[in-house]
Amino acid sequence: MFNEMFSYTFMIRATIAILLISPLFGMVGTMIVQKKMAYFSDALGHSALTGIAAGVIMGIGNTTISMIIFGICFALLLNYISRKGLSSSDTLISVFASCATALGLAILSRGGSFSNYSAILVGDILSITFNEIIQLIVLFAVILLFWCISINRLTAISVHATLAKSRSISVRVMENAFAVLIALLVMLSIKWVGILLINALLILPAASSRNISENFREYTYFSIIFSIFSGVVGLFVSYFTDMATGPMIVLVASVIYFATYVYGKDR
Amino acid sequence: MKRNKILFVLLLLISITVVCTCGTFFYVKQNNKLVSDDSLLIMTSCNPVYLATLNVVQQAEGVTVQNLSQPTTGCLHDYTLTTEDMKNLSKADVLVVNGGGMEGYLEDVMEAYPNLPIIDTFEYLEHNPKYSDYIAIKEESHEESEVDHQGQEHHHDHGVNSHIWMSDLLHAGQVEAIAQGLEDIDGSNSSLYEANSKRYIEILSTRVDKLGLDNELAGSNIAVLHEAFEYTADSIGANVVADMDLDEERQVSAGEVSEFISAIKENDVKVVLAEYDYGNAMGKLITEQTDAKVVYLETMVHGQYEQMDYISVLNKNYANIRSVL
Repeated sequence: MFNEMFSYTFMIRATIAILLISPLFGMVGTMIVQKKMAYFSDALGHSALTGIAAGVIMGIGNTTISMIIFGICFALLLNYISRKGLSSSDTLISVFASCATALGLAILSRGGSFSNYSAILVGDILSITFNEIIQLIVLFAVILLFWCISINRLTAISVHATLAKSRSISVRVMENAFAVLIALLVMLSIKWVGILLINALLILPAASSRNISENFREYTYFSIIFSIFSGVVGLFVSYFTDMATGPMIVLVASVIYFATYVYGKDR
Repeated sequence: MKRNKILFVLLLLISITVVCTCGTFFYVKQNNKLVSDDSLLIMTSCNPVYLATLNVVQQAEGVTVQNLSQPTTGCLHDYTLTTEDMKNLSKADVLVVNGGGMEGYLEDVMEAYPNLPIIDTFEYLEHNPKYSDYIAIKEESHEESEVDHQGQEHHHDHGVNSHIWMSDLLHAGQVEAIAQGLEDIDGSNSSLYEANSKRYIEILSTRVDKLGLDNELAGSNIAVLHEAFEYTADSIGANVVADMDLDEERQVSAGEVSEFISAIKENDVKVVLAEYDYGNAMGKLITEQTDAKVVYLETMVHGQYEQMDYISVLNKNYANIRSVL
């Protein structure tokens, strides 16, 4: 059964992609959950549509570039405005996300042609190409490097920002750098995961891990394990049952979440 | 405590693996479709080309025709391939497509399987003077020739309406294209393919019954709520004076609706052709606001069809139009 599965190049590529993306989701997700940024990453995912629309308007051949540039600008802008504290951050993020989504939809649906872009809503990991896997490897290396260098500072900020500042940690720089990192991860993997589900993959493994963890090390390790497990099992089940891969991964991750919730509650 | 936790995680992951493996095993056992490795596997992209191919290869030994999974909603352009499709394509000897950009995933397939021969029926018609004049040109061609998120051009648009199968004349051309393509690939059955295609084209010309609509509606004005029906209108000689292509993702502006209704009134349109799923709401509005009758027709994109269903669907469409006159 598995021999047959790996005789297809598209499955080998999809498995490599899952093994690259899922640990990143598990790792970055821990900090997103810790810093209560779930809504932020969701907004970023939805802004991908505007990034594509901007690329189309400017005639950029590869709209992944416009998506990344737009995503980074959007993340930094959100950070800036949230920091100003004029309104609560969830309201601000909601306003910006709705505005960006509406703008993207309005531009892309000109002449009723939105169906050309609808594939990005659910994603398609099976059509990933070799060059795109290379992109994911680079992303994997960048995020891993950033994580190793900055994890202690990010954790300190997430626990107490003022205390972190008193320890000479530049809170603003770190928060902006982390926002850029999320933007990169979301924009580079959105084509494979889909706008509708990307946040679930970022949040669910980390949230499951949080249900049962007692320290940050456990939290990170369990999150990465849950994320890889959901990704691999979801991909294999989707292969044999002919269902979309993204939703299947999210279903597996959801089962893990509910099981850990029950276990964590009873501890 | 920590040991308990690790045990819990291990048990949880093992349980999920066991449940998924068992569930998948039974699912695969129930749904397994085996194709002999020796046979020539012809994959088709959509119902119209599937039906045409079935008729072309009829009685050919060692030939299997299999259709890719069909979308249950929406049109073919926004359909993405399933794992089953990818598996089948990797074993296929040839892929028959409607073409004209109808299959949005075609570039991905060509990239994944560069050696897979593709019979593009639209391309054949486009380069054949007998048919090329009947291909409908879309007005908004300049707007829609855009790039997708990967930077690849969408050939769906090309400025043409690729729902060519809705015209029986162009469908006959598709049959010709498929027969010629298969003759090149499978020389051992070439005479059979040629004979079958001629026979089926003959059947199409005699059994598609337009019920006199080509006389009654010739030259009259018609409006359509799905671009596929431009070919239906064309087949009966009617002029399409207003069109709106509705599907599940189409958001129609108030200006478009008023323009469409004005066009119906100004051009004294008596019949509006629509697809029920996406044109129903708009159809009710048109019936309320104008004297035009809305007729709901099939596009053959969804569902499963058999050998001679192309003819029965077309006849049913014409009978529906007839019923409101």
